[in-house]
Amino acid sequence: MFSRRKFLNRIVAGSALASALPNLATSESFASPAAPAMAEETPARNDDWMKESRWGRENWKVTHQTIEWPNKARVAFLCSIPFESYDMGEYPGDNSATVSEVLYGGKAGVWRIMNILDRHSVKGNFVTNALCAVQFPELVKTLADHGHEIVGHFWANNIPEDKLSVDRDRALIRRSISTIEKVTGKKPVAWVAPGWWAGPQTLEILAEEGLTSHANSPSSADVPFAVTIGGKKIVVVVQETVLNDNGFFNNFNSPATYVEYLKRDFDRKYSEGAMSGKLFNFVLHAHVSGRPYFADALDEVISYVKSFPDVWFTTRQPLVDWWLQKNYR
Amino acid sequence: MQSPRNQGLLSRLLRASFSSAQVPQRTASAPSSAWEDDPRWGREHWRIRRDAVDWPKKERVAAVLAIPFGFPDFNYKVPEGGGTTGQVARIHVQVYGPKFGIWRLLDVLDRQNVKASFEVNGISAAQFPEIVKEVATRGHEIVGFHWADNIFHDQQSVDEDRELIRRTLSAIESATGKRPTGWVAPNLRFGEKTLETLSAEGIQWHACNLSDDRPYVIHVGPKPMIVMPHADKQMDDAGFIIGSRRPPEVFLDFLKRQFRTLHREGDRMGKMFNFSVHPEYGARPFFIDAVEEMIGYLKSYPDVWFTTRQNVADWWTKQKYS
Repeated sequence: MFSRRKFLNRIVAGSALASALPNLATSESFASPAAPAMAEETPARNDDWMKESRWGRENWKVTHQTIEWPNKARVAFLCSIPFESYDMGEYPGDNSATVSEVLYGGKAGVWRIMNILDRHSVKGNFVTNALCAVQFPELVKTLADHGHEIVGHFWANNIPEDKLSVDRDRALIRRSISTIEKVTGKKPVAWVAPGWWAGPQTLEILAEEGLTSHANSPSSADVPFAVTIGGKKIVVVVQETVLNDNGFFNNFNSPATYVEYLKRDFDRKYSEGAMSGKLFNFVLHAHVSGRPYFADALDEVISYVKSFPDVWFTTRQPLVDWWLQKNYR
Repeated sequence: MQSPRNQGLLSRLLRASFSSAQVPQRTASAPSSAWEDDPRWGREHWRIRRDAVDWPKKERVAAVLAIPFGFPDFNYKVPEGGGTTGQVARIHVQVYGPKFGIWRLLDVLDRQNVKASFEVNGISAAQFPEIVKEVATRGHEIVGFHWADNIFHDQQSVDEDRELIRRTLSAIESATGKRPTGWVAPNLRFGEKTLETLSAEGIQWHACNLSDDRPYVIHVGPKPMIVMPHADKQMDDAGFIIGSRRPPEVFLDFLKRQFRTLHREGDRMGKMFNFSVHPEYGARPFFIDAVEEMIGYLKSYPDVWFTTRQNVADWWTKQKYS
């Protein structure tokens, strides 16, 4: 007879190694917060989760609107490049390996991606931790000077924003905005919270600080959508988590497999885009896809998309402006 | 986006960790202002260096094959979650290395006439001294790899860390007659004073960096230390075999793509290419052909310097690169 115990034993025997390596597939145990939240850092909770800006009802609106992009483009193409770093003073808890791995972005990955984009005259959205502007000011300024958009990405990627007090969150958001402004001469208009770790007030703080776009609705739609936060209209530029580079490469899928997914995604959006415009938001971490193994594949994806006539290569700000101007929901 | 904090741990876990990564508790005190000066991750790691790097014969790429000869020590942190099954699997799978894997790799390396960089735990040298001696005798490089691959520098006290580092260096020295001058940390993680200890013990370079395509020099106290890139997780066989069961061709595809880009970029400045093969994984019969194919592929390029890390470090010092 087949018992559950037997079944479990068989799993253990069949994959003794896998079971000896707990959570390999998900690495969830390592995703646990760096430290238990301290009393003074416990964020305020909203009473009704359905009213929360992070995940409440406004995010579930099913809108049937016809989207028209400039020049009747079928697809708006965004290339989003998270450019990250860890601050071991602000929030200790990582180790020399993780800090070093992420640092690859500023030392090599962003440069490589920037060169490829520049060669194709495509402007990227560099989703930049403000700490990177401290560590690599010349690079961040060069990006801005080359016409790439610097999108806000909090202070550093090892700080779980959802574990911070509202005051500390606000202080770090302000410091992030002013640091980027100091280096590039311009405040970011769009924002992505690291790891989607928005606290209960984070999106409200961003709206107060004058940002007009966030991306905290991962892989939820084929087009952007608008929400109201703190009385202001905010455009949510949906960003991929399902088609995120990490998901492929951390699972050792080849660059060719990733490219295949992206092309299929693009092809379908391009065909549907004849009826109503679609968004293709391609997410490449500078310290992951900026590594040499992805360079040719990135070139391939961009060349592929460029071979279609009706594509709007854009960055966030023009897209957000367009959305607001057309009064899309 | 996945949780950013867990990126990049996988291969090091596969290599070394049966215990879950311990995340230090956040301290309530004010953040230390010295983190920017810490030799593990401080300013010297962020500086963009612009000196032109040329390899000895103007090769475009210096290629290093690393072979981690790891072994666990169950006197330390036994695998969590795996229990006895985990321990049994761990020790027996891993002992395939000295029993079969290393010998198969040595034959391949001899046939291809290339030298590799063996990363040897102290316990490996203590338990298999004749194998470590044989590896050294055949001209391969022996790099210190701490005492055991389930011991992380950042989970020991400074004193115990120092004691284990010394034990490792002595065990390797007794096996080969030579004290290593290079180091790789299990999981690539350093403890608070590990670099200071290593520097005091005569270590001149480490290969635990994932932030660049070239070596560079940092300072530990007043003393220089060369920091060399380590294979990324996609340049390491373990994740393809044990983590995801991909065909060897997928590993080869990653390696060749990585290499081709570096080779193309190497016309302006010498680059460094690293890949790792574990004796207990990639040296198994079902995978070794892919390893040999990659070695042959690298050798088919005339402008590749297939070398060891010590050679790279010596060259770096001689050229006074930054």
